[in-house]
Amino acid sequence: MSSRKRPLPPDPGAERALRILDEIRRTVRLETRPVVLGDEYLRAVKQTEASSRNEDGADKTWVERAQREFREHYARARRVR
Amino acid sequence: MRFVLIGIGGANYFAETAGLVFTTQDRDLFLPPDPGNELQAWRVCRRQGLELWCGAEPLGEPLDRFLAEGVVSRRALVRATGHDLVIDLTLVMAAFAFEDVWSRRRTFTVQGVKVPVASLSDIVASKAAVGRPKDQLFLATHEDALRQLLGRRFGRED
Repeated sequence: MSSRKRPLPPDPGAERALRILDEIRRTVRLETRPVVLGDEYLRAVKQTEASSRNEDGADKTWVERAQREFREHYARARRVR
Repeated sequence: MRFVLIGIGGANYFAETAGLVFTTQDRDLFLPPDPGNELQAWRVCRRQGLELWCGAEPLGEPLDRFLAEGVVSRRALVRATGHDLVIDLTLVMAAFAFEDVWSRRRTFTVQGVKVPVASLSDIVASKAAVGRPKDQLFLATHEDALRQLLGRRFGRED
């Protein structure tokens, strides 16, 4: 699946990094395998689901706000050296 | 229109603190294999000004039932894109049928809008079933985050 890509800034360092990543993608076989989840992790997931903050109807507006703020924060990031 | 939010975007809604929210630009919506529902989803996206893509190509015109039946029969993924937003309309959730996920959904509220979200158990189990490197990374990170939040030790069997 592909879609339109956001144009990258003309940054030689970034372009070099992308070329390296492309090379890795071509040559390194990524391992896909089912993961067996531990019982304690699954219990913690159930515990999280059962939390009063996660009841039906809970207001999760703050989650979207947090994600937007994260994205804006990282969009402002600049390389320093 | 029926859908459930799955993937990391769905898991984020179960976060109890901002520290448990994973950054993602994508929203994965799991839809039932129903052409009428699929068509309705496309029209809603279009009304919101989003562009629809299937693979590397625009979804095409007209948006009608014939096209929806073709997409549903192939279980093809349609992507809706807009400014700072990517929505994947998927007909596949590894290891799960839509009706099972729907029956266990949680409905949260975001800015006054009701959002059906797959149970965290289903989201985690689906990621474990797929097991791509990014799923493995999410599961390991999520497990660690829950461990820190709940102050417990976890054993991992993979």
